[in-house]
Amino acid sequence: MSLRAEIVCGPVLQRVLPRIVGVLAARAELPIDRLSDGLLVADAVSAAAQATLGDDAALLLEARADRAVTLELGPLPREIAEHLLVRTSLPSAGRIVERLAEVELVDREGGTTIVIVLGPVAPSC
Amino acid sequence: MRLLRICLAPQPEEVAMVRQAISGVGEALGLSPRLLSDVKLATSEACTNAIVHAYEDGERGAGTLVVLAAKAPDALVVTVTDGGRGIAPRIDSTGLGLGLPLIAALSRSLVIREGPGGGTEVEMTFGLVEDPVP
Repeated sequence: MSLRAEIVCGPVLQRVLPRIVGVLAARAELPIDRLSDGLLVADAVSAAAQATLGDDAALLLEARADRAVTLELGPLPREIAEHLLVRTSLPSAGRIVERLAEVELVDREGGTTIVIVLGPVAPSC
Repeated sequence: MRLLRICLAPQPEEVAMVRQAISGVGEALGLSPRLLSDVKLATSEACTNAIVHAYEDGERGAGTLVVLAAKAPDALVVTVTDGGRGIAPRIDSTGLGLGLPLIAALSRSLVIREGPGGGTEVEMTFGLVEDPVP
Protein backbone atom coordinates (compact mmCIF):
# COMPACT_ATOMS: atom_id res chain seq x y z
CA MET A 1 0.00 0.00 0.00
CA SER A 2 1.16 3.51 -0.66
CA LEU A 3 -0.18 7.03 -0.42
CA ARG A 4 0.68 10.62 -1.14
CA ALA A 5 -0.47 13.36 1.19
CA GLU A 6 -0.22 17.04 1.93
CA ILE A 7 -0.85 17.75 5.59
CA VAL A 8 -0.90 21.18 7.14
CA CYS A 9 1.62 21.54 9.97
CA GLY A 10 0.45 22.08 13.53
CA PRO A 11 -2.35 20.23 15.31
CA VAL A 12 -3.53 18.45 12.14
CA LEU A 13 -0.11 16.97 11.33
CA GLN A 14 0.39 16.07 15.00
CA ARG A 15 -2.78 14.00 14.94
CA VAL A 16 -2.74 12.65 11.40
CA LEU A 17 0.87 11.53 10.93
CA PRO A 18 0.96 9.10 13.90
CA ARG A 19 -2.30 7.57 12.67
CA ILE A 20 -0.92 7.09 9.17
CA VAL A 21 2.23 5.52 10.60
CA GLY A 22 0.12 3.27 12.82
CA VAL A 23 -1.91 1.94 9.89
CA LEU A 24 1.21 1.42 7.78
CA ALA A 25 2.99 -0.34 10.63
CA ALA A 26 0.08 -2.72 10.98
CA ARG A 27 0.12 -3.39 7.22
CA ALA A 28 3.88 -4.03 7.35
CA GLU A 29 3.28 -6.35 10.31
CA LEU A 30 5.88 -4.59 12.40
CA PRO A 31 6.25 -5.87 15.97
CA ILE A 32 4.59 -3.84 18.70
CA ASP A 33 7.85 -2.25 19.90
CA ARG A 34 8.51 -0.96 16.40
CA LEU A 35 4.96 0.35 16.15
CA SER A 36 5.69 2.28 19.31
CA ASP A 37 8.98 3.52 17.80
CA GLY A 38 7.09 4.59 14.69
CA LEU A 39 4.67 6.64 16.75
CA LEU A 40 7.58 8.34 18.50
CA VAL A 41 9.13 9.12 15.13
CA ALA A 42 5.83 10.54 13.88
CA ASP A 43 5.45 12.70 16.98
CA ALA A 44 9.01 13.98 16.69
CA VAL A 45 8.67 14.76 12.97
CA SER A 46 5.32 16.49 13.49
CA ALA A 47 6.67 18.74 16.21
CA ALA A 48 9.86 19.49 14.26
CA ALA A 49 7.92 20.23 11.07
CA GLN A 50 5.71 22.72 12.88
CA ALA A 51 8.73 24.42 14.44
CA THR A 52 10.65 24.47 11.16
CA LEU A 53 8.00 25.12 8.51
CA GLY A 54 5.40 27.06 10.51
CA ASP A 55 1.73 26.47 11.28
CA ASP A 56 0.17 27.05 7.88
CA ALA A 57 2.74 25.24 5.72
CA ALA A 58 1.88 21.85 4.28
CA LEU A 59 4.23 18.90 4.66
CA LEU A 60 4.38 16.68 1.58
CA LEU A 61 4.46 13.00 2.38
CA GLU A 62 4.80 9.84 0.34
CA ALA A 63 4.45 6.71 2.40
CA ARG A 64 4.36 3.00 1.76
CA ALA A 65 4.30 -0.27 3.65
CA ASP A 66 5.86 -3.51 2.47
CA ARG A 67 8.17 -5.25 4.93
CA ALA A 68 8.97 -1.85 6.40
CA VAL A 69 7.31 1.52 6.65
CA THR A 70 8.88 4.15 4.44
CA LEU A 71 8.10 7.84 4.88
CA GLU A 72 9.37 10.35 2.36
CA LEU A 73 9.03 13.95 3.52
CA GLY A 74 9.52 16.75 1.04
CA PRO A 75 10.94 17.91 -1.26
CA LEU A 76 12.32 20.67 0.92
CA PRO A 77 15.26 23.04 0.56
CA ARG A 78 18.28 21.05 1.82
CA GLU A 79 18.99 23.37 4.74
CA ILE A 80 15.36 23.15 5.85
CA ALA A 81 15.43 19.35 5.67
CA GLU A 82 18.61 19.26 7.76
CA HIS A 83 17.16 21.76 10.21
CA LEU A 84 13.97 19.72 10.54
CA LEU A 85 15.99 16.63 11.46
CA VAL A 86 18.05 18.59 13.99
CA ARG A 87 14.80 19.80 15.57
CA THR A 88 13.77 16.22 16.32
CA SER A 89 16.47 16.21 19.01
CA LEU A 90 15.61 15.87 22.66
CA PRO A 91 18.11 17.11 25.27
CA SER A 92 18.53 13.73 26.92
CA ALA A 93 17.90 11.43 23.97
CA GLY A 94 19.56 13.11 20.99
CA ARG A 95 18.15 12.87 17.49
CA ILE A 96 15.24 10.54 18.11
CA VAL A 97 14.39 9.79 14.48
CA GLU A 98 17.90 8.67 13.55
CA ARG A 99 18.08 6.42 16.61
CA LEU A 100 14.83 4.66 15.85
CA ALA A 101 14.84 4.50 12.05
CA GLU A 102 17.14 4.60 9.08
CA VAL A 103 17.23 8.16 7.81
CA GLU A 104 18.65 9.48 4.60
CA LEU A 105 18.56 12.85 2.88
CA VAL A 106 18.07 12.32 -0.84
CA ASP A 107 18.59 15.15 -3.32
CA ARG A 108 16.04 15.02 -6.12
CA GLU A 109 14.58 17.38 -8.63
CA GLY A 110 12.74 20.02 -6.63
CA GLY A 111 14.75 19.68 -3.44
CA THR A 112 15.82 17.31 -0.72
CA THR A 113 13.62 14.50 0.53
CA ILE A 114 13.94 13.07 4.04
CA VAL A 115 13.57 9.31 3.70
CA ILE A 116 12.74 7.49 6.93
CA VAL A 117 12.58 3.70 6.96
CA LEU A 118 11.13 1.85 9.92
CA GLY A 119 11.98 -1.81 9.59
CA PRO A 120 11.11 -4.66 11.94
CA VAL A 121 14.34 -4.12 13.88
CA ALA A 122 15.76 -0.81 15.17
CA PRO A 123 18.97 0.34 13.43
CA SER A 124 21.03 0.10 16.63
CA CYS A 125 20.09 -3.55 17.28
CA MET B 1 -7.96 26.52 4.38
CA ARG B 2 -6.77 23.17 3.16
CA LEU B 3 -5.88 20.86 6.04
CA LEU B 4 -5.27 17.53 4.37
CA ARG B 5 -5.08 16.05 0.90
CA ILE B 6 -4.51 12.34 0.66
CA CYS B 7 -4.25 10.33 -2.54
CA LEU B 8 -4.56 6.55 -2.43
CA ALA B 9 -5.35 3.58 -4.61
CA PRO B 10 -9.10 2.89 -4.71
CA GLN B 11 -8.83 -0.37 -2.81
CA PRO B 12 -11.14 -1.49 0.02
CA GLU B 13 -8.36 -1.63 2.61
CA GLU B 14 -7.62 2.06 2.08
CA VAL B 15 -10.91 3.10 3.66
CA ALA B 16 -9.36 2.38 7.06
CA MET B 17 -6.51 4.74 6.26
CA VAL B 18 -8.93 7.48 5.22
CA ARG B 19 -10.94 7.03 8.43
CA GLN B 20 -7.79 7.36 10.50
CA ALA B 21 -6.65 10.47 8.65
CA ILE B 22 -10.07 12.12 8.90
CA SER B 23 -10.25 11.22 12.59
CA GLY B 24 -7.01 13.13 13.11
CA VAL B 25 -8.37 16.17 11.29
CA GLY B 26 -11.60 16.08 13.32
CA GLU B 27 -9.69 15.76 16.56
CA ALA B 28 -7.47 18.70 15.63
CA LEU B 29 -10.59 20.79 15.01
CA GLY B 30 -12.05 19.76 18.36
CA LEU B 31 -15.14 18.05 16.95
CA SER B 32 -17.38 16.35 19.47
CA PRO B 33 -17.30 12.52 19.45
CA ARG B 34 -20.75 12.43 17.80
CA LEU B 35 -19.80 14.86 15.05
CA LEU B 36 -16.52 13.07 14.47
CA SER B 37 -18.40 9.79 14.17
CA ASP B 38 -20.70 11.38 11.55
CA VAL B 39 -17.75 12.72 9.57
CA LYS B 40 -15.97 9.35 9.62
CA LEU B 41 -19.07 7.42 8.61
CA ALA B 42 -20.02 9.78 5.78
CA THR B 43 -16.45 9.86 4.47
CA SER B 44 -16.22 6.08 4.63
CA GLU B 45 -19.46 5.78 2.67
CA ALA B 46 -18.23 8.20 0.00
CA CYS B 47 -14.95 6.30 -0.33
CA THR B 48 -16.73 2.96 -0.44
CA ASN B 49 -19.01 4.24 -3.21
CA ALA B 50 -15.97 5.31 -5.22
CA ILE B 51 -14.23 1.99 -4.69
CA VAL B 52 -17.26 -0.13 -5.49
CA HIS B 53 -18.88 1.87 -8.29
CA ALA B 54 -16.32 4.14 -9.98
CA TYR B 55 -14.21 1.54 -11.70
CA GLU B 56 -14.84 -1.50 -13.82
CA ASP B 57 -13.22 -4.68 -12.59
CA GLY B 58 -9.59 -4.58 -13.57
CA GLU B 59 -9.50 -0.78 -13.94
CA ARG B 60 -9.16 -0.10 -10.25
CA GLY B 61 -5.41 -0.70 -10.10
CA ALA B 62 -4.76 2.36 -12.25
CA GLY B 63 -7.32 4.55 -10.50
CA THR B 64 -7.02 7.06 -7.73
CA LEU B 65 -9.00 8.08 -4.70
CA VAL B 66 -8.38 11.60 -3.43
CA VAL B 67 -9.72 12.85 -0.12
CA LEU B 68 -9.47 16.52 0.70
CA ALA B 69 -10.33 18.11 4.05
CA ALA B 70 -10.59 21.87 4.31
CA LYS B 71 -11.74 24.25 7.02
CA ALA B 72 -14.33 26.86 6.16
CA PRO B 73 -15.24 29.61 8.67
CA ASP B 74 -17.74 27.46 10.54
CA ALA B 75 -17.49 24.13 8.79
CA LEU B 76 -15.34 21.20 7.79
CA VAL B 77 -15.57 20.37 4.08
CA VAL B 78 -14.54 16.88 3.01
CA THR B 79 -14.31 16.11 -0.70
CA VAL B 80 -13.88 12.60 -2.09
CA THR B 81 -12.88 12.42 -5.75
CA ASP B 82 -12.33 9.43 -7.99
CA GLY B 83 -11.09 9.19 -11.54
CA GLY B 84 -13.62 6.62 -12.60
CA ARG B 85 -16.50 6.43 -15.05
CA GLY B 86 -18.73 9.04 -13.45
CA ILE B 87 -22.28 8.79 -12.19
CA ALA B 88 -24.49 6.40 -14.08
CA PRO B 89 -27.31 4.02 -13.21
CA ARG B 90 -26.13 0.47 -12.49
CA ILE B 91 -28.71 -2.21 -12.92
CA ASP B 92 -26.17 -4.78 -11.77
CA SER B 93 -25.53 -3.04 -8.45
CA THR B 94 -25.94 -5.31 -5.44
CA GLY B 95 -25.97 -2.41 -2.98
CA LEU B 96 -29.08 -1.25 -1.11
CA GLY B 97 -28.66 2.32 -2.32
CA LEU B 98 -28.36 3.66 1.22
CA GLY B 99 -24.95 5.29 0.88
CA LEU B 100 -25.87 8.69 -0.51
CA PRO B 101 -29.01 9.15 1.64
CA LEU B 102 -26.88 8.30 4.66
CA ILE B 103 -24.24 10.85 3.69
CA ALA B 104 -26.96 13.45 3.11
CA ALA B 105 -28.44 12.75 6.53
CA LEU B 106 -25.09 13.00 8.32
CA SER B 107 -23.78 16.13 6.61
CA ARG B 108 -24.99 19.71 6.63
CA SER B 109 -24.85 19.76 2.84
CA LEU B 110 -23.92 17.36 0.07
CA VAL B 111 -22.87 18.21 -3.48
CA ILE B 112 -22.21 15.57 -6.13
CA ARG B 113 -20.64 16.67 -9.39
CA GLU B 114 -18.34 15.55 -12.14
CA GLY B 115 -14.72 15.52 -11.01
CA PRO B 116 -11.94 17.39 -12.78
CA GLY B 117 -10.71 14.17 -14.41
CA GLY B 118 -14.16 13.00 -15.45
CA GLY B 119 -14.89 10.90 -12.37
CA THR B 120 -17.16 11.83 -9.51
CA GLU B 121 -16.61 14.40 -6.78
CA VAL B 122 -18.60 14.17 -3.56
CA GLU B 123 -18.38 17.27 -1.39
CA MET B 124 -19.69 16.99 2.15
CA THR B 125 -19.95 19.92 4.55
CA PHE B 126 -20.14 19.38 8.30
CA GLY B 127 -20.68 21.88 11.09
CA LEU B 128 -17.92 22.28 13.65
CA VAL B 129 -20.42 22.19 16.50
CA GLU B 130 -23.52 20.05 16.84
CA ASP B 131 -26.70 21.62 15.55
CA PRO B 132 -29.20 22.28 18.35
CA VAL B 133 -31.88 19.62 18.67
CA PRO B 134 -35.20 21.11 17.41
